[in-house]
Amino acid sequence: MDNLSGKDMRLVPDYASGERFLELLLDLGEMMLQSGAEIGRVEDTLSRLARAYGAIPDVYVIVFSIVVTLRFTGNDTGKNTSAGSISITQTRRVDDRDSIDFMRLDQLNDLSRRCCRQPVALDKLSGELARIHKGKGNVRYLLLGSMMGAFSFSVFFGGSVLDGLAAALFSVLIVFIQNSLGRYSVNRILYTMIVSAIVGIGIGILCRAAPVFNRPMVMIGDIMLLNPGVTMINAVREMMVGNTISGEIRLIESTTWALALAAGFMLAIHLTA
Amino acid sequence: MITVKEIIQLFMAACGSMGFAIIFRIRKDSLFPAAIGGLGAWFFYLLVSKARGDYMAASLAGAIFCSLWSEFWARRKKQPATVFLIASVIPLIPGNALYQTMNSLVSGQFHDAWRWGLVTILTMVFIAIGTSLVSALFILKDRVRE
Repeated sequence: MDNLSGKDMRLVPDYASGERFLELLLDLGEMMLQSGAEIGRVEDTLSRLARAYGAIPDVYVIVFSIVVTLRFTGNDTGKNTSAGSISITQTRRVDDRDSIDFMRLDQLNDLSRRCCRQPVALDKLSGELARIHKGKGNVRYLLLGSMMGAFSFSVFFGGSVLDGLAAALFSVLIVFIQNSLGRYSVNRILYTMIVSAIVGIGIGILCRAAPVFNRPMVMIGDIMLLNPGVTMINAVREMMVGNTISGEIRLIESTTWALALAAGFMLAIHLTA
Repeated sequence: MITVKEIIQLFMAACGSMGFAIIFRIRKDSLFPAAIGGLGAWFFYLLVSKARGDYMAASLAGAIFCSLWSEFWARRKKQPATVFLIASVIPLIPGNALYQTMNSLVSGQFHDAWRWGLVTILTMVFIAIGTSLVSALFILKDRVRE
Protein backbone atom coordinates (compact mmCIF):
# COMPACT_ATOMS: atom_id res chain seq x y z
CA MET A 1 0.00 0.00 0.00
CA ASP A 2 1.52 3.23 -1.06
CA ASN A 3 -0.59 5.79 0.70
CA LEU A 4 2.27 8.25 1.12
CA SER A 5 1.10 10.33 -1.75
CA GLY A 6 -1.53 12.77 -2.68
CA LYS A 7 -4.59 13.51 -0.67
CA ASP A 8 -4.72 10.66 1.81
CA MET A 9 -1.35 11.38 3.35
CA ARG A 10 -2.98 11.91 6.71
CA LEU A 11 -3.30 8.14 6.98
CA VAL A 12 -0.58 6.33 8.80
CA PRO A 13 1.49 4.42 6.21
CA ASP A 14 2.66 0.89 6.64
CA TYR A 15 6.28 0.39 7.67
CA ALA A 16 7.47 -0.60 4.22
CA SER A 17 6.42 2.59 2.48
CA GLY A 18 7.49 4.66 5.48
CA GLU A 19 10.96 3.17 5.31
CA ARG A 20 11.07 3.67 1.57
CA PHE A 21 10.12 7.32 1.89
CA LEU A 22 12.75 7.84 4.55
CA GLU A 23 15.36 6.22 2.34
CA LEU A 24 14.53 8.62 -0.48
CA LEU A 25 14.66 11.49 1.97
CA LEU A 26 18.17 10.44 2.97
CA ASP A 27 19.16 10.14 -0.70
CA LEU A 28 18.10 13.73 -1.17
CA GLY A 29 19.99 14.89 1.92
CA GLU A 30 23.10 13.00 0.88
CA MET A 31 23.11 14.56 -2.56
CA MET A 32 22.60 18.02 -1.08
CA LEU A 33 25.52 17.60 1.31
CA GLN A 34 27.77 16.27 -1.42
CA SER A 35 26.95 19.22 -3.65
CA GLY A 36 28.04 21.65 -0.97
CA ALA A 37 24.77 22.63 0.73
CA GLU A 38 24.88 24.23 4.15
CA ILE A 39 23.90 22.05 7.09
CA GLY A 40 20.97 24.26 8.03
CA ARG A 41 19.58 24.13 4.52
CA VAL A 42 19.74 20.33 4.40
CA GLU A 43 18.01 20.00 7.78
CA ASP A 44 15.37 22.50 6.76
CA THR A 45 14.65 20.86 3.40
CA LEU A 46 14.38 17.35 4.87
CA SER A 47 12.08 18.53 7.66
CA ARG A 48 9.78 20.40 5.31
CA LEU A 49 9.54 17.51 2.90
CA ALA A 50 8.82 15.04 5.70
CA ARG A 51 6.08 17.30 7.03
CA ALA A 52 4.57 17.57 3.57
CA TYR A 53 4.26 13.81 3.55
CA GLY A 54 2.47 13.82 6.88
CA ALA A 55 5.33 12.90 9.20
CA ILE A 56 6.65 14.62 12.28
CA PRO A 57 10.37 14.81 11.56
CA ASP A 58 13.38 14.86 13.80
CA VAL A 59 16.42 15.59 11.67
CA TYR A 60 20.07 15.84 12.62
CA VAL A 61 22.76 16.50 10.04
CA ILE A 62 26.49 16.84 10.42
CA VAL A 63 29.17 16.90 7.76
CA PHE A 64 29.26 13.18 7.10
CA SER A 65 26.14 11.79 8.71
CA ILE A 66 22.38 12.22 8.57
CA VAL A 67 20.02 10.89 11.24
CA VAL A 68 16.29 11.14 10.68
CA THR A 69 13.37 9.87 12.74
CA LEU A 70 9.90 10.16 11.29
CA ARG A 71 6.75 9.73 13.33
CA PHE A 72 3.46 9.14 11.58
CA THR A 73 0.60 9.68 13.99
CA GLY A 74 -2.27 9.91 11.58
CA ASN A 75 -4.68 12.77 11.89
CA ASP A 76 -3.65 15.92 13.70
CA THR A 77 -6.92 15.99 15.56
CA GLY A 78 -6.41 12.56 16.99
CA LYS A 79 -9.10 10.92 14.86
CA ASN A 80 -8.42 8.19 12.39
CA THR A 81 -5.58 6.68 14.35
CA SER A 82 -6.91 3.18 14.10
CA ALA A 83 -3.70 2.01 12.48
CA GLY A 84 -1.72 3.34 15.44
CA SER A 85 1.24 5.60 15.05
CA ILE A 86 4.55 4.40 13.73
CA SER A 87 8.04 5.72 14.14
CA ILE A 88 10.99 4.97 11.91
CA THR A 89 14.65 5.91 12.10
CA GLN A 90 17.43 5.64 9.58
CA THR A 91 20.95 6.94 9.48
CA ARG A 92 23.17 7.56 6.49
CA ARG A 93 26.92 7.80 6.30
CA VAL A 94 27.69 10.47 3.71
CA ASP A 95 30.92 10.12 1.78
CA ASP A 96 32.91 13.28 1.52
CA ARG A 97 33.00 14.80 -1.94
CA ASP A 98 33.45 18.47 -1.30
CA SER A 99 32.64 19.37 -4.86
CA ILE A 100 30.39 22.37 -5.01
CA ASP A 101 27.68 21.93 -7.61
CA PHE A 102 25.05 24.63 -7.58
CA MET A 103 23.24 23.26 -10.60
CA ARG A 104 22.47 20.04 -8.77
CA LEU A 105 21.51 21.95 -5.62
CA ASP A 106 19.16 24.04 -7.70
CA GLN A 107 17.48 20.94 -9.13
CA LEU A 108 17.18 19.35 -5.69
CA ASN A 109 15.69 22.52 -4.22
CA ASP A 110 13.26 22.72 -7.06
CA LEU A 111 12.20 19.09 -6.59
CA SER A 112 11.68 19.47 -2.87
CA ARG A 113 9.76 22.69 -3.30
CA ARG A 114 7.43 21.02 -5.79
CA CYS A 115 6.94 18.04 -3.50
CA CYS A 116 6.20 20.26 -0.53
CA ARG A 117 3.44 21.96 -2.46
CA GLN A 118 2.02 18.77 -3.93
CA PRO A 119 3.49 15.50 -2.64
CA VAL A 120 4.17 13.10 -5.51
CA ALA A 121 4.09 9.31 -5.41
CA LEU A 122 7.22 7.63 -4.08
CA ASP A 123 8.04 5.99 -7.40
CA LYS A 124 8.02 9.36 -9.10
CA LEU A 125 10.13 10.93 -6.36
CA SER A 126 12.59 8.08 -6.66
CA GLY A 127 12.77 8.51 -10.43
CA GLU A 128 13.36 12.25 -10.17
CA LEU A 129 16.14 11.75 -7.62
CA ALA A 130 17.81 9.16 -9.83
CA ARG A 131 17.62 11.54 -12.77
CA ILE A 132 19.24 14.35 -10.81
CA HIS A 133 21.89 11.95 -9.51
CA LYS A 134 22.78 10.84 -13.01
CA GLY A 135 23.02 14.35 -14.47
CA LYS A 136 26.75 14.85 -14.55
CA GLY A 137 28.75 17.98 -15.06
CA ASN A 138 30.05 18.70 -18.49
CA VAL A 139 33.84 18.29 -18.47
CA ARG A 140 34.17 21.02 -21.09
CA TYR A 141 32.58 23.55 -18.73
CA LEU A 142 34.85 22.44 -15.93
CA LEU A 143 37.84 22.87 -18.23
CA LEU A 144 36.67 26.28 -19.37
CA GLY A 145 36.11 27.47 -15.79
CA SER A 146 39.43 26.11 -14.55
CA MET A 147 41.41 27.63 -17.38
CA MET A 148 39.68 30.95 -16.92
CA GLY A 149 40.30 30.89 -13.18
CA ALA A 150 43.95 29.92 -13.46
CA PHE A 151 44.69 32.42 -16.20
CA SER A 152 42.90 35.28 -14.46
CA PHE A 153 44.51 34.84 -11.08
CA SER A 154 47.93 34.35 -12.54
CA VAL A 155 47.62 37.73 -14.26
CA PHE A 156 45.76 39.17 -11.28
CA PHE A 157 48.75 38.64 -8.99
CA GLY A 158 51.10 40.27 -11.47
CA GLY A 159 51.95 37.62 -14.03
CA SER A 160 52.27 38.24 -17.74
CA VAL A 161 49.81 36.91 -20.29
CA LEU A 162 52.30 34.14 -21.00
CA ASP A 163 52.33 33.13 -17.32
CA GLY A 164 48.57 33.10 -17.39
CA LEU A 165 48.51 30.81 -20.39
CA ALA A 166 50.95 28.44 -18.70
CA ALA A 167 48.76 28.39 -15.58
CA ALA A 168 45.74 27.64 -17.78
CA LEU A 169 47.66 24.81 -19.41
CA PHE A 170 48.42 23.25 -16.04
CA SER A 171 44.81 23.68 -14.95
CA VAL A 172 43.98 21.22 -17.73
CA LEU A 173 46.33 18.79 -16.00
CA ILE A 174 44.51 19.42 -12.70
CA VAL A 175 41.12 18.68 -14.22
CA PHE A 176 42.54 15.56 -15.83
CA ILE A 177 43.96 14.33 -12.52
CA GLN A 178 40.72 15.13 -10.72
CA ASN A 179 38.78 13.10 -13.24
CA SER A 180 41.12 10.11 -13.15
CA LEU A 181 43.03 9.81 -9.89
CA GLY A 182 40.45 11.79 -7.93
CA ARG A 183 37.81 9.16 -8.44
CA TYR A 184 39.85 6.51 -6.71
CA SER A 185 41.38 8.61 -3.98
CA VAL A 186 40.77 7.25 -0.50
CA ASN A 187 42.56 9.94 1.39
CA ARG A 188 42.02 13.56 0.58
CA ILE A 189 45.19 14.70 2.36
CA LEU A 190 47.46 12.39 0.43
CA TYR A 191 45.58 13.15 -2.77
CA THR A 192 45.95 16.93 -2.37
CA MET A 193 49.64 16.50 -1.66
CA ILE A 194 50.18 14.35 -4.75
CA VAL A 195 48.21 16.64 -7.07
CA SER A 196 50.06 19.70 -5.77
CA ALA A 197 53.41 17.99 -6.15
CA ILE A 198 52.69 16.81 -9.70
CA VAL A 199 51.43 20.21 -10.82
CA GLY A 200 54.20 22.02 -8.95
CA ILE A 201 56.96 19.87 -10.41
CA GLY A 202 55.48 20.31 -13.88
CA ILE A 203 55.48 24.08 -13.50
CA GLY A 204 58.97 24.04 -12.00
CA ILE A 205 60.36 22.08 -14.92
CA LEU A 206 58.64 24.31 -17.46
CA CYS A 207 59.98 27.47 -15.83
CA ARG A 208 63.51 26.13 -15.70
CA ALA A 209 63.38 25.05 -19.31
CA ALA A 210 61.84 28.31 -20.51
CA PRO A 211 62.85 31.24 -18.33
CA VAL A 212 60.29 33.52 -19.98
CA PHE A 213 57.82 32.05 -17.52
CA ASN A 214 57.73 33.48 -14.05
CA ARG A 215 57.42 30.54 -11.71
CA PRO A 216 55.64 32.24 -8.77
CA MET A 217 52.95 33.66 -11.02
CA VAL A 218 52.26 30.42 -12.86
CA MET A 219 52.11 28.53 -9.57
CA ILE A 220 49.81 31.04 -7.89
CA GLY A 221 47.27 30.69 -10.67
CA ASP A 222 47.00 26.97 -10.02
CA ILE A 223 47.23 27.33 -6.25
CA MET A 224 44.09 29.44 -6.43
CA LEU A 225 42.31 26.52 -8.09
CA LEU A 226 43.49 23.94 -5.58
CA ASN A 227 43.37 25.76 -2.27
CA PRO A 228 40.49 25.03 0.07
CA GLY A 229 39.82 28.68 0.87
CA VAL A 230 36.15 28.43 -0.01
CA THR A 231 35.69 25.45 2.30
CA MET A 232 37.37 27.40 5.10
CA ILE A 233 35.11 30.40 4.68
CA ASN A 234 32.06 28.17 4.60
CA ALA A 235 33.26 26.40 7.72
CA VAL A 236 33.43 29.62 9.69
CA ARG A 237 30.01 30.71 8.43
CA GLU A 238 28.66 27.34 9.50
CA MET A 239 29.93 27.95 13.00
CA MET A 240 28.44 31.42 13.10
CA VAL A 241 24.94 30.17 12.33
CA GLY A 242 25.04 27.61 15.10
CA ASN A 243 26.39 24.43 13.53
CA THR A 244 29.55 24.61 15.58
CA ILE A 245 30.60 20.98 15.31
CA SER A 246 30.10 20.75 11.55
CA GLY A 247 31.95 24.03 11.09
CA GLU A 248 34.86 22.90 13.18
CA ILE A 249 35.13 19.58 11.41
CA ARG A 250 35.24 21.39 8.09
CA LEU A 251 37.70 23.98 9.35
CA ILE A 252 40.12 21.36 10.64
CA GLU A 253 39.75 19.37 7.43
CA SER A 254 40.34 22.31 5.15
CA THR A 255 43.31 23.53 7.19
CA THR A 256 44.83 20.08 6.85
CA TRP A 257 44.21 20.17 3.10
CA ALA A 258 45.88 23.57 2.89
CA LEU A 259 48.91 22.17 4.71
CA ALA A 260 48.95 19.21 2.34
CA LEU A 261 48.82 21.59 -0.61
CA ALA A 262 51.68 23.61 0.86
CA ALA A 263 53.69 20.44 1.41
CA GLY A 264 53.18 19.34 -2.20
CA PHE A 265 54.17 22.68 -3.69
CA MET A 266 57.10 23.06 -1.32
CA LEU A 267 58.41 19.70 -2.40
CA ALA A 268 58.06 20.83 -6.02
CA ILE A 269 59.82 24.15 -5.40
CA HIS A 270 62.58 22.36 -3.51
CA LEU A 271 63.13 19.83 -6.29
CA THR A 272 63.05 22.26 -9.20
CA ALA A 273 64.49 25.49 -7.78
CA MET B 1 44.47 57.49 -8.51
CA ILE B 2 43.78 54.18 -10.08
CA THR B 3 46.70 52.70 -11.96
CA VAL B 4 46.74 50.53 -15.08
CA LYS B 5 47.86 47.61 -12.98
CA GLU B 6 44.82 47.97 -10.78
CA ILE B 7 42.46 48.17 -13.72
CA ILE B 8 43.93 44.93 -15.02
CA GLN B 9 43.52 43.44 -11.55
CA LEU B 10 39.89 44.47 -11.36
CA PHE B 11 39.18 42.98 -14.76
CA MET B 12 41.00 39.78 -13.88
CA ALA B 13 39.14 39.55 -10.58
CA ALA B 14 35.89 39.57 -12.53
CA CYS B 15 37.16 36.94 -14.99
CA GLY B 16 38.50 34.78 -12.16
CA SER B 17 35.22 34.90 -10.28
CA MET B 18 33.43 34.03 -13.49
CA GLY B 19 35.76 31.05 -13.96
CA PHE B 20 35.01 29.76 -10.49
CA ALA B 21 31.31 30.39 -11.01
CA ILE B 22 31.52 28.10 -14.04
CA ILE B 23 33.39 25.46 -12.05
CA PHE B 24 30.70 25.55 -9.36
CA ARG B 25 28.02 25.27 -12.05
CA ILE B 26 26.17 28.43 -11.19
CA ARG B 27 23.03 29.10 -13.20
CA LYS B 28 23.78 30.98 -16.41
CA ASP B 29 21.75 34.05 -15.52
CA SER B 30 23.72 34.39 -12.29
CA LEU B 31 27.20 34.22 -13.80
CA PHE B 32 27.42 37.91 -14.48
CA PRO B 33 26.40 39.14 -11.00
CA ALA B 34 28.91 36.70 -9.52
CA ALA B 35 31.69 38.07 -11.74
CA ILE B 36 30.86 41.67 -10.89
CA GLY B 37 30.86 40.63 -7.25
CA GLY B 38 34.47 39.57 -7.65
CA LEU B 39 35.32 42.90 -9.22
CA GLY B 40 33.55 44.79 -6.45
CA ALA B 41 35.29 42.76 -3.77
CA TRP B 42 38.67 43.72 -5.14
CA PHE B 43 37.60 47.33 -5.65
CA PHE B 44 36.72 47.70 -1.98
CA TYR B 45 39.87 45.87 -0.99
CA LEU B 46 41.95 48.38 -2.98
CA LEU B 47 39.96 51.33 -1.70
CA VAL B 48 40.47 50.51 1.97
CA SER B 49 43.99 49.27 1.51
CA LYS B 50 44.93 52.62 -0.10
CA ALA B 51 43.17 54.68 2.51
CA ARG B 52 44.49 52.78 5.49
CA GLY B 53 47.41 50.72 4.17
CA ASP B 54 46.07 47.76 6.07
CA TYR B 55 45.37 44.42 4.42
CA MET B 56 43.23 43.20 7.31
CA ALA B 57 40.73 46.06 7.17
CA ALA B 58 40.82 45.79 3.38
CA SER B 59 39.96 42.08 3.41
CA LEU B 60 37.20 42.76 5.88
CA ALA B 61 35.75 45.48 3.66
CA GLY B 62 35.93 43.27 0.58
CA ALA B 63 34.27 40.41 2.42
CA ILE B 64 31.48 42.62 3.75
CA PHE B 65 30.83 43.90 0.26
CA CYS B 66 30.67 40.31 -1.08
CA SER B 67 28.12 39.29 1.51
CA LEU B 68 25.89 42.30 0.96
CA TRP B 69 26.15 41.83 -2.79
CA SER B 70 25.28 38.15 -2.55
CA GLU B 71 22.34 38.75 -0.22
CA PHE B 72 21.03 41.33 -2.67
CA TRP B 73 21.29 39.06 -5.71
CA ALA B 74 20.07 36.04 -3.78
CA ARG B 75 16.78 37.84 -3.29
CA ARG B 76 16.57 39.03 -6.86
CA LYS B 77 17.42 35.70 -8.45
CA LYS B 78 15.71 33.58 -5.78
CA GLN B 79 18.81 31.54 -5.11
CA PRO B 80 20.80 30.84 -1.93
CA ALA B 81 23.24 33.62 -1.07
CA THR B 82 26.21 31.24 -1.09
CA VAL B 83 25.89 30.95 -4.86
CA PHE B 84 27.06 34.53 -5.28
CA LEU B 85 29.20 34.74 -2.19
CA ILE B 86 31.52 31.85 -2.95
CA ALA B 87 32.35 33.01 -6.44
CA SER B 88 32.78 36.68 -5.63
CA VAL B 89 34.93 36.19 -2.54
CA ILE B 90 37.60 34.26 -4.49
CA PRO B 91 39.82 37.25 -5.44
CA LEU B 92 40.28 37.99 -1.75
CA ILE B 93 41.73 34.57 -1.00
CA PRO B 94 45.44 35.07 -0.25
CA GLY B 95 46.97 32.85 -2.93
CA ASN B 96 50.02 35.06 -3.25
CA ALA B 97 50.68 35.14 0.49
CA LEU B 98 50.37 31.36 0.64
CA TYR B 99 52.91 31.00 -2.16
CA GLN B 100 55.32 33.44 -0.52
CA THR B 101 55.05 31.52 2.74
CA MET B 102 55.96 28.27 1.04
CA ASN B 103 58.71 29.83 -0.99
CA SER B 104 60.31 31.43 2.06
CA LEU B 105 60.09 28.19 3.99
CA VAL B 106 61.81 26.25 1.22
CA SER B 107 64.58 28.81 0.83
CA GLY B 108 65.15 28.89 4.59
CA GLN B 109 64.04 32.47 5.18
CA PHE B 110 62.04 31.71 8.27
CA HIS B 111 61.47 35.31 9.24
CA ASP B 112 59.74 35.99 5.92
CA ALA B 113 57.89 32.69 6.15
CA TRP B 114 56.50 33.68 9.53
CA ARG B 115 55.46 37.09 8.26
CA TRP B 116 53.75 35.77 5.09
CA GLY B 117 52.18 32.90 7.00
CA LEU B 118 50.61 35.37 9.35
CA VAL B 119 49.33 37.43 6.41
CA THR B 120 47.76 34.30 4.91
CA ILE B 121 46.04 33.29 8.13
CA LEU B 122 44.87 36.76 9.13
CA THR B 123 43.49 37.49 5.66
CA MET B 124 41.45 34.30 5.81
CA VAL B 125 40.28 35.13 9.32
CA PHE B 126 39.09 38.58 8.29
CA ILE B 127 37.32 37.30 5.16
CA ALA B 128 35.58 34.74 7.34
CA ILE B 129 34.60 37.35 9.92
CA GLY B 130 33.28 39.73 7.27
CA THR B 131 31.12 37.17 5.50
CA SER B 132 29.84 35.52 8.67
CA LEU B 133 28.97 38.81 10.28
CA VAL B 134 26.74 39.90 7.45
CA SER B 135 25.01 36.54 7.04
CA ALA B 136 24.44 36.37 10.79
CA LEU B 137 22.81 39.80 10.63
CA PHE B 138 20.56 38.70 7.78
CA ILE B 139 19.53 35.55 9.64
CA LEU B 140 18.80 37.67 12.70
CA LYS B 141 16.69 39.99 10.59
CA ASP B 142 14.64 37.07 9.27
CA ARG B 143 14.10 35.72 12.79
CA VAL B 144 13.00 39.08 14.13
CA ARG B 145 10.51 39.43 11.30
CA GLU B 146 9.02 36.01 12.07
